Amino acid sequence: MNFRTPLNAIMNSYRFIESTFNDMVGDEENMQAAGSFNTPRSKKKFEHNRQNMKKFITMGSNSSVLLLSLIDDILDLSKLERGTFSVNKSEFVLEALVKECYDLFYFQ
Amino acid sequence: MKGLVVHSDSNRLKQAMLNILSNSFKFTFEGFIKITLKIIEKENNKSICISVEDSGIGIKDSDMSKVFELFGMVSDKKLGNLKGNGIGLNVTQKYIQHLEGQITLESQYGKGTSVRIFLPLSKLPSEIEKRLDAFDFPSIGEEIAESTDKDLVKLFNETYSRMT
Repeated sequence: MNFRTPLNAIMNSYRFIESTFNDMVGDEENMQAAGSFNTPRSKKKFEHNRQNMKKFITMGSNSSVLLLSLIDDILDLSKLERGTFSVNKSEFVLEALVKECYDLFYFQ
Repeated sequence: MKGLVVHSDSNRLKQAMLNILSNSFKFTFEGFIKITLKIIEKENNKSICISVEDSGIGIKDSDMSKVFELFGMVSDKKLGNLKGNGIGLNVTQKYIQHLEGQITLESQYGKGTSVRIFLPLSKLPSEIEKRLDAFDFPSIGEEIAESTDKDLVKLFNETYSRMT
């Protein structure tokens, strides 16, 4: 089994959970439509849980990407030592890549 | 999205950036972490400079020679058990060298660290090269002082301590 296989599964699961979550309770409108709260108290509780869940989803999702990168580092390190390392160039937008990296650590 | 299109290894560059940023986020407790992109022209060669500056704990002069070493971890009493894995900067330097670039690290103990990656831009298609001067690079950095809740390392530590 490839090192990356289980981690890819975790990463994609998080992506799926994230989009399902956004679909269900991602914003105020959805919550209203679902009629999830009849009292101000239940609304507050719901909102609190929603914020927490969002945080944990992001945390799990970001952490899986970071762990994958770490595994890639270790695989690359062994390729470098065996002399089989090679780069794989393509064209991409630099700012988007940098922003993506930054957002993995720092998020709303 | 407007931006500079470069021809390089996006996966390796991402791995490099994540290693550098992970150090910054791990060792910066107040102040800022700032990323700046700049185009530098030297003797008709254009290169791109990605700089990551932070106001973290910095590195002692006596430890500077160890930072790019494999498993050359720097220890500091102030940090307790907080330390790196000893791979990040070593493998990052190798990626950048394989991409015909350079990486530099400057640090002042107690004040902060700045890491710069220089990558050659000479192999760009000429069409892109002509457009280079028109780009304006925003600085992506933000103050992290007021964000007690926003950064991954802090959030993880908080959650972990709550669970145990």
